[in-house]
Formats: sequence, structure tokens, C-alpha cells
Amino acid sequence: MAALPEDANETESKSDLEVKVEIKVESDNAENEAGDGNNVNSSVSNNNNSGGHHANNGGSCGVENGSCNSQPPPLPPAPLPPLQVAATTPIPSPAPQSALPESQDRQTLLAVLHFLRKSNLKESEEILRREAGLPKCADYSLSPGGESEGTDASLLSRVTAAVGGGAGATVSASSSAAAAAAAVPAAGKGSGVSAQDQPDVSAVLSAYTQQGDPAKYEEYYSGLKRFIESVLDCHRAELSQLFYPLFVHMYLELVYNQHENEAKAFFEKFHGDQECYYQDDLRVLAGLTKQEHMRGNETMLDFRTSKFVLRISRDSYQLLKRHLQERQNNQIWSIVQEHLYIDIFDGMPRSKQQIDAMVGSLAGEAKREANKAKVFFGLLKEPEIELPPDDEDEEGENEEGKPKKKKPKKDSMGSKSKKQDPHAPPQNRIPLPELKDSDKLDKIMNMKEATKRVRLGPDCLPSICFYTFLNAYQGLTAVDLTDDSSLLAGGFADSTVRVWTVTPKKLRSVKAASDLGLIDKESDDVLERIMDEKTASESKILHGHSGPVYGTSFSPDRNYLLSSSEDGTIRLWSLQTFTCLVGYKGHNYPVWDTQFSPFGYYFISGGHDRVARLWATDHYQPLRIFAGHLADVTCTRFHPNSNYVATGSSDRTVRLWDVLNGNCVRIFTGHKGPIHSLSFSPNGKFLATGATDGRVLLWDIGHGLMVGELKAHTNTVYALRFSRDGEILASGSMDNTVRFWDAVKVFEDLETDDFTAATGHVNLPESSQDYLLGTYMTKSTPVTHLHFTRRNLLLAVGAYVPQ
Amino acid sequence: MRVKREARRVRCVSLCTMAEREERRFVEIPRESVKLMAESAGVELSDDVAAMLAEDVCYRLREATQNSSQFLKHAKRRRLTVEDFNRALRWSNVEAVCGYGSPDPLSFRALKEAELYFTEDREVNLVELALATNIPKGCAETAVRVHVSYLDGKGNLESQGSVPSAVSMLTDDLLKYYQHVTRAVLGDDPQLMKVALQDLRTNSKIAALLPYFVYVVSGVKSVSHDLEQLNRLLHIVKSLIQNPFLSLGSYVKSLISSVMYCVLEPLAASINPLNDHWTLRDYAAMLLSHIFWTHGDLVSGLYHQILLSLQKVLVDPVRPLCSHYGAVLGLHALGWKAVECVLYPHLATYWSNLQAVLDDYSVSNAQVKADGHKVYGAILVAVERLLKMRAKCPSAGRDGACPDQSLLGRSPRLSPLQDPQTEFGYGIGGYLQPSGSGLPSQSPSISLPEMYRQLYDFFGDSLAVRFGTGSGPWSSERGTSVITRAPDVKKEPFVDTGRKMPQLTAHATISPREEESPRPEQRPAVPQLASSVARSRSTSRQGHRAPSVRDVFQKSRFSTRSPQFSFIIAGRQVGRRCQGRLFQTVFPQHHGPSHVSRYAQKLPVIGRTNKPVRKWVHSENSLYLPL
Repeated sequence: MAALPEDANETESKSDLEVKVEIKVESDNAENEAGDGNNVNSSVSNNNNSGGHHANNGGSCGVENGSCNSQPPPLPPAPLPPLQVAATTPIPSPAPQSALPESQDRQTLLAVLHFLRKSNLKESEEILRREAGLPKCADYSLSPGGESEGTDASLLSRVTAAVGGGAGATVSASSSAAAAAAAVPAAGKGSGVSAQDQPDVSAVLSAYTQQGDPAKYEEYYSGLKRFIESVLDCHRAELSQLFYPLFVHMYLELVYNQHENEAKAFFEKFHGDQECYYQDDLRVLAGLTKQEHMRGNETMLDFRTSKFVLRISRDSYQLLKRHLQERQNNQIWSIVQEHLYIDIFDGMPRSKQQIDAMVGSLAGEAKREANKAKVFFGLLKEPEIELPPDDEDEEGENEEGKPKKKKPKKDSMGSKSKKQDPHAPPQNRIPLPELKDSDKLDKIMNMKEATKRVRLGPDCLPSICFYTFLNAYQGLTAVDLTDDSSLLAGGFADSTVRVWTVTPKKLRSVKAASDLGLIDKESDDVLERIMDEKTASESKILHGHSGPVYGTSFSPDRNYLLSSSEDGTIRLWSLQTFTCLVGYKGHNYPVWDTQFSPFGYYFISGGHDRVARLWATDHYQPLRIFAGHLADVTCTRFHPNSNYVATGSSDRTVRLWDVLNGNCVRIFTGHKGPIHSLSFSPNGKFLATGATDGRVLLWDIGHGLMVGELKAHTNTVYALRFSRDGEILASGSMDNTVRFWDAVKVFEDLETDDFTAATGHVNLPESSQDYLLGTYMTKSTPVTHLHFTRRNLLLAVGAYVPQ
Repeated sequence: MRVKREARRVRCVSLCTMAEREERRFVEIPRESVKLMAESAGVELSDDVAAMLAEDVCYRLREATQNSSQFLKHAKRRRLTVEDFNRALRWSNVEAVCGYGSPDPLSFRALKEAELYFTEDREVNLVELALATNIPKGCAETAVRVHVSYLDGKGNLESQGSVPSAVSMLTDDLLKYYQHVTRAVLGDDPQLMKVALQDLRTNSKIAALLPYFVYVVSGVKSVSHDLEQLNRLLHIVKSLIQNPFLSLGSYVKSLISSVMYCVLEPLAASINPLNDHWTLRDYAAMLLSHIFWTHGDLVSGLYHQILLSLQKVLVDPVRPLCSHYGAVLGLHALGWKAVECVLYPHLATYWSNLQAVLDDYSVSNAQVKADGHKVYGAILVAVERLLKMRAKCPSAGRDGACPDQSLLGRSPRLSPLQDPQTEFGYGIGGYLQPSGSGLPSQSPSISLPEMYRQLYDFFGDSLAVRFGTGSGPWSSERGTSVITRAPDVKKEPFVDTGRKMPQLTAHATISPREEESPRPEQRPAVPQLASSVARSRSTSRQGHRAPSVRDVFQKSRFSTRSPQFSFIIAGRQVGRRCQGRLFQTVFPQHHGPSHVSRYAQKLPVIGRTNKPVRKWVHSENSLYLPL
């Protein structure tokens, strides 16, 4: 143990200072945990070997392990075979990267090279050139299936944006060489194109250099408009989808070619025709009036570099094609060809309602093939736990006089968990930490509680307990409750994290090292003795962040707390010592959300840099980077089986990522505003998402379909939670209400036939009032968090807002 | 500096226009603003450049605003703040706008001539702020409260708990309640007032309103002309104190200061002699003692503070007599310990002033004299109780540790302050005395007879308390009998008439202690400390008498009593019982303990607190309390 921190310090010189400080604190505070050091050590070396594929990455991996490994229990006793093994060989993964248009990729690469040259990063530039020659250079697989353009775009913008702050995961501004090295593989991944001449950023931008007469744009557009209005009703709805992307691209073309006045006129004339859910984007667009504005505007950069996806039936498409070719309307045709991706399907054209349900995202709908990958949404087999402590307890209960009631139940539960879910991933698909004794105890507790669980339904709604934060002047920005509902953590805008105990058991820290030495380590209650009674209090404040704390998450074993902040870091706090153990740097921009895996050890984070990252507590670099969102990743959630993560974004899409290979396996579109809440159903089959538009959407993960639309909230839905058995969905919103929805009914009502499954078209009921079971008002408290206790009591949390 | 200000102003303009986006759709910064800024930076701009710059600035502002909305959403707020905007600026490497962090809305002002909008930036007088009396309340602790909102999906069980802070806003119901109650109490309908006060006394849900009521009560200062209103406010105080559901916490201080105001201040209402402000003071003093004895433990050092302020008033000769009256009442209300420790040492000084007032028979002085009699009466009542209590618990006077010990012996389970059954004075003196500085420390050496004699010097026969020492050395040494029997006392007036009731002043000249009779110039010479008072007195009087009295009276008593004391401490019953026997000085030492213990065993345990006292009333060798 003693050697470890030194190691870390030596190698630290290259990495950031922050972590170094943490280590010192850690080694001071956690001396009692020294026993874990050895394990960790072995995992370090192992990591170095396996992760050494890429020299740069391997090196830093070692460092990070050294620094974090005093970090005790979540570490599985056997060194976790890092995911990099899988990640370094992304070829076998089914990502359809070959579908990538080569030119696009090359342009991106060139742009990066250009940037590097401009920033005087010769070395990195060379590395990139060299690397680009290789078939695959990625050290972590980033490419999401089917959305590679988006990836590229966001990467580009990220690199561009990183001029000041340093790009990539672990880069500090001081070590520019390292920075570039880290940035390069990140940017170069997935783009297997050899380096070419003339790197130029404008190459990317120049997609708009058009020959068309600016004066005629209005004519073109209104011509198309007339045509679409004249076609049959069944086609009109489908073809109307064209309006928005065409409008945007034509406008941008005008702006790019510096026809400022024409652009303004064009905008004035047609912006009223666009669907109301594009208002936000139009507002951004309206501000863009100069070519130079486009250069820095990331949203627009995305819009132009990613293709807007439309789903149109073959008939309608033919109609459109014929019209455009007849009219020799080259201008529009070329936009359609270059900037739109028309996903043609055979069969009936969709109705206006069907279309409206699915569109709304920044880049159109998801392509159908994007949602084709198989997803193992089943739950993992419950580990078999011998129940010695439980038996004792049962004896106790026997004495009390209900002898055999529990036994059969337990058996049934046991057998249930023994059965392998056909949809479940292989048990060891993702290496998971082994259960500790305390985890087993907790599981037993959970099962016991579960037997006392209230069976919810439309006739039996849960009670609501409301935790109100009072006097939270500093602004409550994040809340989390432990699974057993014993601890409550609040992240505040004043950079603090506060932890409350909501049971009579007070929060206590471990004694100081000197006092720990005096403890009789042989005694039975040593765990009790190490606690310092003097520190007992109802709440603790954790200081460390330097910006609002936007996400908090307890580890499942309640020993750790994660917090993500505007300062770009995620911090891991010990709930034994109430000190910070690690600061994970990598996002470099505000980190909007973070969450522990349901099995601990891993955690996911998402931030303003448009990527979500998968971390392990003992690595201070991310294991995976999930890139593909076109805007901030606003919320992140783990699938109950820990093999997938869902991310919601302000590009109004939800994506599901495979933790194993980093692929994007689902893209859900349909929200009309940034997504701020996600929740998986307990059986892992469904996903509920809530957005600023006040709507809650339900998704079938296996089929990749929208299965429900719940409209009632009038403001952002910040909290979603399924009851423990999945019958009820509770949603909490800024509109000061908690609403209950009949999840069972939603899923039952859905008619899924082969056609819907194939096309992704679902008919959702007009009104969701039938599903709404109840609306519960608070007086003046927006609901920011919801949690079902193990017995299905709903806990809601929010900060009281004086009017 | 100027430039920065200007820059700020221009920014303000832009922010201002942003608010009106509905009409204008977008921020527009006129090129004039840009030019103005450039000018202040010392740059001349052409119109074209200014226009382009203006446009770009607009765009950047829009961008920053759009970015800031991201921070708004994640902060889960509804209103965009300057903070959000600054974060957006910071992330795009732009200097943040400082000085607008206040959550209050900024008020914009237009300057017509310059066509300039700017936020009102008033000068803040720091000195005024620092010395202001209304110190802003600190932020209350961030806390989490839990309550069951809906049971089985039905009904609001109870309202979302009260917010423990004055900063919080009230719910409509509470606000209505507050308005109704205050209106009823301060209104004209006595019946309504009764009902409202009754409800205040019993309502369990008004915790959130407490700060508001405390505030209302603190309004005593503004209605000092209106006795009726003052009275009602005091009634509110009484109701609040009596409400068992309220935890007054630190509001006790505020309430006490309001009550003290009524007790001590020369109220505007007292200018008119027809106003019966005396009753108000009596009532307020009663309240003071009530608050103190029921809630005094909420604020540490409260006793000390109150004593200090009372003493301050008392020793200030400039204050009107009604203030002095209040101070005496207040001391009386705080218990005989307070009287002994503040009033008694100052009595000699004060007496001269009072005497002067009372001796002035001029017509113009009539009113003041009447007031003086009031004060006289109050002092008399106070010292009588002091004597009485001293007699009951004589050890307190002689040994500082005694009150505590005897108290502990009496009621070990109650902390001194919380024992409402305890007679005033028990314990509290001992409890707070150690912290006392600036207050005259209680003299352990003043014996009861000494005190009695001094007081008798002042009050003469007006003192209703009589002590007798029968065959004690007291009378024999003194020559004149100070014995309690009424006829005996008659001699005493002749001795000390100089300080006695005014009607007896005629005899002052023939007083044997004439040389010691009240002369103002002599008063300051009398030391403030009670102990030294006693000493100086005794020495200045007929030399041989006082010391010997002390010696005999006290020493003998002390020696005989000490073994009993240890016994008293041992048991409650015994301790109580002993009260009546404390003055049996002549008993031989060995009689004491055995007698007491035997006696204690015989007595029933319950309800004999005072019986032993009675038992000894007629004893020749005892002191008796006529009351």
C-alpha cells in the first residue's frame, strides 16, 4: 500500500494535479483499507498488459490505476479484464461503419489535421497521419452504429472547441503533446482513411458552395410547397417532412454564400410554415446571419455535417422524385441528395399523426437499421444466496406465529431467478464485481422487504412521502436516494453535496488513523468501533466541486457517492470518511449527469461535450466513450442488467449504447425537447423518457419502438420511476405535480404485429388520459426526484420554492 | 473604471431588450451604443464598423443566452439568472458580468437625454449598514423535511410542514389566520380578542407564524402612547408563551426585549398621570418572570443580561421614577436573588434620591412624589420578599455554595431553571452567578439580621417582616431590641428615622445615628458591593456592636449548622423539613442531626413542604414569617 501512492505520484507528473491531491487524501484516510492494495496492484499490471495495445493509452492506464486503487471494495477480487480487450478490436462488432461515406470521413480527418497544424501540434499531426494510414487505430471504440456522420461532426466540433481547454479525456493544458496524442486517437477512430493533401476546415464547410441563384430560392421553395400541398392527402403528410430540412439547408446556403438579405427574407417568409416543435432550432437559426457565425455554431455545424433522416414510403418518394426531376429543380434535388437521408420503406404511407409522434429531433428520425441490432434486455440471473442469516430471522418469525407463509414464497422467488431469461445477456458478458458478504446481506434484506411489498395497480396507488428541501437558497440541482431509501444526497448550485440520513441512524465517519490503531481489531464489533461517535450527525456536507453539482448517485453498497459538476469533473466520495477519493476528469465541460451501475464499480456520465463516458471506479480514464449525440448528453441511466446504458440528449434523441463494444444500438426519436429523465422498467424491457416538452414517452427496447406517449405534464419532466414491480410509472415535473400512469395498460394496449415491428410505425392512442391514474400536487415544490422504496412507497424529493 | 461601467451599461441595454423579445424578437444593440463604448475606450469607429460590430455583438449575445438556457434547465429552475448567463459566458471564454448576482429583479432606468438605459445602482452607505439595528437575519439551515403527502394515492394528509424560518413565505391559510388574529387582538371587540388570544394559546399549527407575531409584539415601541394596545401586545406575548406547541427558541430574546420595554421605558403614555401605566408595568413584569421561568433556559446568559439592563436603569438617576419602578418590579419578578444582588446593594444610593423626592412637599413636585411613593412601595415589596426568602433559606446568604447544594438536594431531577415549583430565587442565582461580571457579586457575608437591620433602617415599621431572636445576643448587644414582637420594634424607629417613611422624617434629627443619616454627598462613598456595604456600615456604626453581632449570631450558627447541612443534602424530605429549623441556633450541636433524622422518619412524605415552618412559628427562638 505504502508503495502505491508513491508510484502514482511519480507518474502523476504528466497527469493532472487534482487527482494527485486526491490520492494523498485517500491514502491518509483509508489506511484501514490497505488490505485491498494487493489486489489492485495485480489488476494494474494486468491492465497494463491487456490495455497496452496502444502505447499512449496503456501508459496512462497504469498511472490511473495506481492513483485510484486505494479505492477499496468495489473492485472485484479478480482483476477485471478491462473492456479494452473487446474495445480494441472493434472490427467484429456489427457497427456498419462501412456504410460511411468515405469523402465525409476524409474531410473530417483533414479538418483535424488542419487544426493540429494550426495549433502547432506537429508531433500529434504526424502521429495522426501515421495512424490514419493504419486500418484501425482506435483505442476505444466510439462509433455508434448507423450514425457515424453525427459522430464525426461532434468530434470535429469537440476538437475545435478544445482549443482553450485541452481536448480529450485526460488532457491537461500543460502537456500539449499528451493532449494531442489523446485527442488524435479520439478523433481518428473509426476513420480508416489514409492521409491526403490539403487539410482545410473550410472543406467541411464548403458543402454549401452552391451555384444557384439566391433570388430563386424562394421560388424553389414555394414551388415545392405548392406541389406538396397539391398531392394526395396520404402523401402530403409524408412529404411535408421535407419542409423543415429543406428550409434550414436553403437558408444556411444563403447565409453561407453571404446573401444576407435574401436569407433574411427567405426566413421571414417561410419560418411560419415550420412545425412548432422546431421553434427552438429556428430561433438559433434566425440568429445566424453571417458566414462567420456559422463557423463557431456547433448546432449548425452538426446540422450540416449530419444528414437529416426522413422516413418516407416508396410511393411518396417516387412522387417527389418525379416532380423534382420534371421541374428540373436541381437546387432542391441536390439538397435532398446531399443533406438528407431518405429512409424509404415499402407499404402504406404514414399518417400525419404517426409522423408527428416520431419526428422532432435535431436530425430527423432514426434510420430503421439503427434500431435493428439485437439487444439483450433481459435481466441477469440472480446469484444464488445461501440464507443463513435469513433462516435465523425466520426462526424469529416462527416464534411470532406465522410459520410457513414465507417459505413457499421464497422458493418461488428462488426458482424464478434461477430460470435464464431468453433475452438476457450471457452472465459474464460484462465483467461484474463479485458480491461481497454485505451485498448478499443487502440482497437478502431486499428479498425480505419484497415479500412485504404492496401490490400496486390502478386500484391500489402508492402512498407518497415527500422530502422537501427547505431553505435551499443555493439551489437544489440533483438528488439521489439509496436503493434501500436510507440516505439522501443533494447536489447544490453552490458546489456542495449534502448527504442526509433519513433513518434514525446517524451518519458517522471513520475515526482518524491514529485512533484506529488503538482499536482491538479482533473484536466482533470492530466495524462499530471504527466509527467516530463524535462525528454523528444527520447530514454531512461534501466540499470539493467548483461548480454546481448536476448529478449525484449512490453506489449500490452505499459506501460511495458520485457527483458530477459544472467544473467538468466527477467526484467519488467515501461515505465512510466523507471525503473525496477521486476526481475523474475527462469531460472538460459541465457534466450533466452521472449514475452508478446497478452492480457498482462502473459508472456512466454525460455532459456538455456531447459524449457519454463509461468509467470504472479504479480507472481515472473512461473505459468507453459513447459519442453520437448531436448536442449535450443531459441524462444517463444504466440498464438493470448493466450491459447497456441509455443517454438522453438535448438533440431530442435517446440512445441506447452497448457497454461491451460501445455501439449505439437504439436511437429513439419523438421528443420535441431536450430529454431530462430516463427510467428503465424493472424487467428491463421498457424505457421511459421525459423531456422539457412535458411528455413522457415509453419505448420497447427489444423492438426499438415507441409504445406510449403520456401527455399531461405542463413543464419539464425531471423525474421518472417505475414501481418495483413495474405496474405503475410515476413522473415528477417542474409543474409541481407527481403523476401516476398505468404502465401495464400501456404495454397491453399496444398491438405489435410484424408490420409495426418491421416498419416501426405504431398507432398510439390519441389521448393518454386513460393511462393517467392520478395527479398529485405539491404546494410549491417542483419534483426533482422520485424513488420507490422496496415496499413500493413512493418517495418524492424537491426543493421548496418560495413564490 | 469608467469604461467598465459603460460596458456594463451597454450590456444592460442588451439584456433589457432581450426581455422584450416578444415584440422585437431579438436583441438589437444600436450602433450608437457600440460607438459610445468605443469612444469611452478611446477608439473612433465609422458607422459601418459600428454597425457590423453591433450585429456581431447581438449574435454573440444571442448565442450566450441560448447556451445559458442549458444551465437553467439543469439547475431545475424556472427563471434564468445572471449566474446562468455568466456560466455560458465563461464557457465561451468571455469575461463574466459582475455585480448582478442578486436574485432580486434589476430595475432599469432610462436616461432620456442620453437615450441610455441602465440599472439603478444606488450607493450603499456601509456605515449605516453596519450600524443598522435591523441586522438581516442569517440564512436558515438547509434542511430536509418529510411528510406523507398522499396516503394510498388519496388526499393530502397534512399540509407540507412549516418552514422553519422567517424568510419563508406563508401559505394562504396561515396568512389569513395571521391577519384575522392580529386584527382581532388589536381591534375593538373584546370578545373577539379573547377568542383570538385563546386560540393563540392553543393552536398547534402556527409555528410558521411565530416570527410574525414576534414581530408584531416588537411593535410595542411604536405604540408606547397607547396603553390599551401595549396591553394587548403583552397579551399576545402571554398567549405565545403559554402555547405548548410553539418552540420559542431564540425568539424568547425578542419577546423579552419587548416586555422589558414595557417594564422599563418611560412610555409616552405615562406622561399623562391619568394613564395607569403602573398596571401595565406590573403586568409586563409578571410576564417577564413568566417567560423567564418557563423559557429562560432557551437563551444562555439571559438572566445576566436582564439583570444588567435592570441595574442600568436603576442606577441611572436621570431616568424617571416610573422607569425605576419598572426596574424594581423586574428585579422582583426575577426572584429574591436578583433583588438581593442588584437592588439591595444599590438601595442605599437610591434611597437618598428617593428620599429627596419624597421630602419635597412642593406642589409642583406632587406628581413626582406620587410616583416616588410607587417606587417606594415596589421596593418595599421586593425587599420584604427578599427578607422572607432569606429567612426561609438562610444558608443562601452566607455560603455561596449552599443554594445549589440545597437545591440539588431538594430536586435533583430538575435543572434549576426549569423547576417551576421552586420558589423564585432557588438556584437561579447560583446558576448564573458565575458568569456574572459587572453585576455586584453577592456577598456571602451579609447575614440576615444585618440585612434586616439595614432595611429596617430604611423602612422602619413599614417592613411587614419581623424577626425575633428572643434571647439571642442580638438584642442584648444592641441595647435596643430588634426583636420581632411588634411592641419591641417600636423603639427602632427612633433609631433610624432618617431613612424611614417620610412622615417620620421629623424625628430624623434626633436619631442616634444622625451622623449617618442620608446625606447625598456621603452616598457615593458607600461601596457598591454588598459585602463592603455591610462592612463599612458595621464599622461606621457604633463600633463594637455590629461585629460582635455578626460574630455571635453567625459564628455560633455556622458551627452548629454545618453538620446539619451535610444531612440536608442527603435527602429531599429532610432538606425541606429543615427549612423551618434553620434558625435554631441555640440548639446544641449534637441535637441537630439526630433530631432531624428522627423527625424525618416520622413525617409523611407528601405535602409537608411548609408544615415544619409553621411548627416553628411560635417557637421562642425562631424567626417567624407573618405571611
